Amino acid sequence: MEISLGLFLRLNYLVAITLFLIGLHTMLTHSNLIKKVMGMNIMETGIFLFLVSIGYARQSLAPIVDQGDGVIYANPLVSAIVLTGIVIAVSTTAYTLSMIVKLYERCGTLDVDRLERLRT
Amino acid sequence: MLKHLPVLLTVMPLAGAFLVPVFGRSGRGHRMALVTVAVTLLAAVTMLGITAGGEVLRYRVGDWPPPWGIELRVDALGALLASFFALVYLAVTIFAGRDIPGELNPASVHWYWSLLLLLLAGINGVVTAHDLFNLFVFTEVFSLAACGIISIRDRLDSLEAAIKYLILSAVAAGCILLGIALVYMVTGHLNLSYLAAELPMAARLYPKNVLAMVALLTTGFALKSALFPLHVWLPDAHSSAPSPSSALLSGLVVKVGIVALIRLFTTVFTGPVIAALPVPVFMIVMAVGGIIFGALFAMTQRDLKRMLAYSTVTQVGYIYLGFGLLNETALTGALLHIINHALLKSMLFMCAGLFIHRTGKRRIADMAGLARHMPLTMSCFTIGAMAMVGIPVTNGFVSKWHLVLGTLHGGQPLLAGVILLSSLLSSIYYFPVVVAGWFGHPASPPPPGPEGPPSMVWPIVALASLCLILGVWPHLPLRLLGDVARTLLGR
Repeated sequence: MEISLGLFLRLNYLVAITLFLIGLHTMLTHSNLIKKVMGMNIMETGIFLFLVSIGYARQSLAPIVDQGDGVIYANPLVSAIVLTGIVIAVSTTAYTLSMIVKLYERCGTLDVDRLERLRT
Repeated sequence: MLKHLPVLLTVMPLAGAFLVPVFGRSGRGHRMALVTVAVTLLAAVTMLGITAGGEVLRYRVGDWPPPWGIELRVDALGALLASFFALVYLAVTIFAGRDIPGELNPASVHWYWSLLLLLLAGINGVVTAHDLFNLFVFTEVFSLAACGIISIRDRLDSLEAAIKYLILSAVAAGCILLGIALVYMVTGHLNLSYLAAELPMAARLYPKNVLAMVALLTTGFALKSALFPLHVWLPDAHSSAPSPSSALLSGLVVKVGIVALIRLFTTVFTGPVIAALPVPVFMIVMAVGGIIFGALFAMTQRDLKRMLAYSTVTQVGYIYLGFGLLNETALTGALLHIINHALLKSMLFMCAGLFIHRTGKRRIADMAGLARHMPLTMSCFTIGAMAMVGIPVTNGFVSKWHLVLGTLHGGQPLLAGVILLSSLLSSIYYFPVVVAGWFGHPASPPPPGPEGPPSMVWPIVALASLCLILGVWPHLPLRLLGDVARTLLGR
């Protein structure tokens, strides 16, 4: 109860967790490989939203020095982490997709269930 | 120069990985990889010499002081693991020089050396990391490189195994990154020492965040290191890869996740943070499952490499068992088993690779009578099988002995029974191969000729003799690891 109320007050976290769960569910249950890759990206988007939300305080500005005293800055470290995370996510996605293309050229299907049966 | 050793451990293989595709096209790639691995081994051994006395090497990347900059740390455990990993790497790289050109498309051979060095960079990065996010980045580096050395063999089964591995590995990466986000949220630090200082307070203020964070990080790294029941990707991936890749994947890559978890649980999640959470119990239960089911699955396999892959599931279970007990003897056994299994399983996979290279067959039934044609390799395989079962004078005996003693120290005699039972099960699936190899009659003998190219036979013999040496004189690593275990447990 306490948790759900807290989450509704901080909508970013609720959305982030929902996205993470949608992505995870898609990755683990869908049999289409492309949908699995989409799930992977949705999951990672959820994590990135979560990370960015951690660094943001209400009415905080971009972290540029010289804006006068009493200004609240957003935490720049999490943005850096998200950038690195995006780079990793992009490379993983590109690599997975290239392997899926090769697999499709060989088997003509993207369905994991059918692939599992193709191999003895 | 000496000051920069901790970062060179990662930077050298990384630089090599980028130089090989540029300069290593016309068959020079293998020599470049060999030189890089040898220099990395030299760096690791130098650091072992410095840290063996208990000194810890700290390195600030770009000279930014922590908590702002990235910190690397090499203690005796890190240096010892890096040395043994580099040693195994050297043996496998020498072996691969003759095996890989036969297994791959000629156009992709030099890419293989590049990926091999990238994998080494990732492994060393995790071993030296003292920063949670750095740990994550290098985990991803070695995971992608590990998928690369599977899928580079352009065949359908390798491709499928690599996709399966990559997708599960992405789930693990998601869990780890979310865990890192949660821990940063409650503590504001990523450096492990600062986290250790902040976390007890945070655990009291936000117990649910810490609970979720520990669960996510444990699941993530357990998936990367194939703890039962998260091992489903391992048998396919390790058996369909080219043999040198299998040797590295089974010997080193699964261990790296465990090393990361050992680091986290001994430096950060200690004392009051973990006291209320049943993580060690969870690990012991899963480890026992892995030990028993890995052995049962291995017994039903007909393919030699698949059997070895399931045996890895069992051995990972042993390591987690020793780790989950969290007492000094058991942790010493677990750390020693990381090293011993790295030597053994790489050696066994290289033996399997040489069998396949010579005969072109990979079923266990086809191993019958091979000792007549390949006596040296079969002897090494026999040593490896004996060590896996845990027969004295082999290194496997020493680590299993410490694990059993550790279960008894921890007051869990039932777990000692599990280890003994599993040794019996291992003998059921390893010894038929050995007996048939020595005394069986080959259905179709391989073409006459020497046992194999010397550059493939001698790395196997070298690792096998090292297994025997560590079995007869285990004192040196044992004393060092005993000290490490005491330090890690804070006693």
